[in-house]
Amino acid sequence: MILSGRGISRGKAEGTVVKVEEPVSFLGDVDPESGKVFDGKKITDSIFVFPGGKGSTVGSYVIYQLKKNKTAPKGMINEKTETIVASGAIISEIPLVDNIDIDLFEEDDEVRIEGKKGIVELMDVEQVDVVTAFLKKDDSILLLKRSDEVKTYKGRWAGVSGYLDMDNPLEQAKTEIEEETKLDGKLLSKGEIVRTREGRKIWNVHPFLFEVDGEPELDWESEEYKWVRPDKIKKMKTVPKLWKAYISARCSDES
Amino acid sequence: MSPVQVRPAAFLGFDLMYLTKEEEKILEGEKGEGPAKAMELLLAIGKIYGADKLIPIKSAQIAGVSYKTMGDAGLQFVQDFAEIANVKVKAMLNPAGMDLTEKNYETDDFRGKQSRLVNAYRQMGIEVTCTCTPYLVGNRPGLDDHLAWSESSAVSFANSVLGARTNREGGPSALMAAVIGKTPNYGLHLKENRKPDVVYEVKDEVPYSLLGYLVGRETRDDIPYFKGFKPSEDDLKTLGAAMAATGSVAIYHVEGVTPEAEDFSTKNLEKIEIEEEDVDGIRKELRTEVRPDVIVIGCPHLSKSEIKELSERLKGKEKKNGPDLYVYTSRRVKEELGEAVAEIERFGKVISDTCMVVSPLEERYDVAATNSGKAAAYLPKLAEQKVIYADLETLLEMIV
Repeated sequence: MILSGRGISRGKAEGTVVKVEEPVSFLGDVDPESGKVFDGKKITDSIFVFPGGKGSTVGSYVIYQLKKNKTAPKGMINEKTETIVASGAIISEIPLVDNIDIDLFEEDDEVRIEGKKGIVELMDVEQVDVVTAFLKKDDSILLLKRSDEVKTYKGRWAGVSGYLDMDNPLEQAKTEIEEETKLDGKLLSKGEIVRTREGRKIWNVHPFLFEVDGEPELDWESEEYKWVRPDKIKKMKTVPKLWKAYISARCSDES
Repeated sequence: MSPVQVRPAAFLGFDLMYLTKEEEKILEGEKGEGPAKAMELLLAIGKIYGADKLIPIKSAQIAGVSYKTMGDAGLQFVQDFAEIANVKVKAMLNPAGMDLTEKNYETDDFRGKQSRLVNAYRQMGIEVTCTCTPYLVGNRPGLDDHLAWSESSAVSFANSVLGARTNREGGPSALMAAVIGKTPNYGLHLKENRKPDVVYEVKDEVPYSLLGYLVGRETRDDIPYFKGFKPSEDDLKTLGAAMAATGSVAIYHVEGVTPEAEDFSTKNLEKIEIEEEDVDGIRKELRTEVRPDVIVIGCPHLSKSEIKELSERLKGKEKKNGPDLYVYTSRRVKEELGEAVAEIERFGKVISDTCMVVSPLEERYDVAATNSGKAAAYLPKLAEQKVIYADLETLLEMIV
């Protein structure tokens, strides 16, 4: 699967992911001798995936020293690069791409980077497209609890959702609403795709926001429904990234 | 200006940055490896901050000069880069880790490595004027001049007092800007980003260093607009340095004093009054019962008038048994004021090219007394000092 971001530092690299979840201060957090980050994982010759940099600007030169010591990563991927890491990558000729959702990467993934084009290829993952529709009535959103009959995420709360079988996500969303709730929805907005990773699979969620009236009649896929205030979504046991999908669906509504 | 053909640097994904033909050639390596790297770095920074293009600069002031902060990593890069690049505009350095009067140590210790680091910068054509006050020693920018300066107090002075335009650059970005002679057009290079956010009405006469310490901490990166006092240029230097240390204030305005103050309306801004009791809290924080073992003066580097004032105050006095005294200034000021310097040196050392924050003060001392808000903010972290703040008069009473 190919992800498009911003090319920060030129060059191509291919390798295995080493990932940390917190921002990295190269001065202090990374040992230029051993190539270890936070006294643990070794980033040498890896594709180093981390949110971004922080701390002292001397960090740029630590990256350079890693390169000189042959302990540097082959490439780097950031959520958001700041100047310390950008400068370090460029002076050390390490390809760097940012504006990439690093939640999609797991340790030991095989990855290819093209710094000049700003793209990252994640190997050996399967993409699955699904639609999720949020149905709004007054100030509440309809959530459905997934039944034991469905294959994935049993017992979790979700929007009205289903696999994208047809070419048109909007038509698919309408079909799912009809099948799963028997409601008549009026489209309010469509969000950007939200992606989530599960094993070797990446779910591409196409989010929608509809306005409805009345109560749903559930089919076999759901065992229960609830009308909730949107901010409750964050606290419930939902399918992955449901809140993010809601925000995405809603944002384009406001804009 | 002659019209230049511009086109998007789409091949690098720089969708919002426009490159001239000339810039594109540099990026592709026609002027060599060093300039290509420099261009790539400037474009990346421009992209991160949403710049539309590069703009020419009058000068650069480069951080990353003290071996204490740069370490072997920084030294290695600067030495390697000196082999492939030269600067295209006037460029000066931040303070180093020691006085450079005794040049060219060959040893492998701190002095040797510091010496090599400075020599590598010199090799690129950078003036080895190691000071945080370049505007006092022959690099005084004018209104609306674009710059790429690093040192936070110098950035504040250039923007606020001189009305020049610079972001607070990191060491690498200032160096690369000097090599290309340009910087990405964003942030404080744009007039609309220089307008004030909050008004401070100063009701009582308070020390500028404490005022800066307080306002920097409160305002963080908002742009303050001051009313109610008429500071001298030295006062502004002190004020701005402290604000840039406790906050990240890179520009401020003073009504009736700084050149851009009248360009903006302050009508609808939040107004905060500052009285004596507000700075009293800071004073208490920076007081300790411990006796200082060193007095450090000159952060930022003292101006000529400040050196003269200090020597006047010491004239005819006798040194008593007290803490050591270190006074920091730029080399040029030190050399031009031989007599005044000699007067001060009866009581301690006058040191140039370096300062109390970037030199290894902690190797000799534990408790430092200073009249600088900026030094008070940095000494605990960067030189492991307990800090005592006092005004100049109180400091001098400790030694005469």
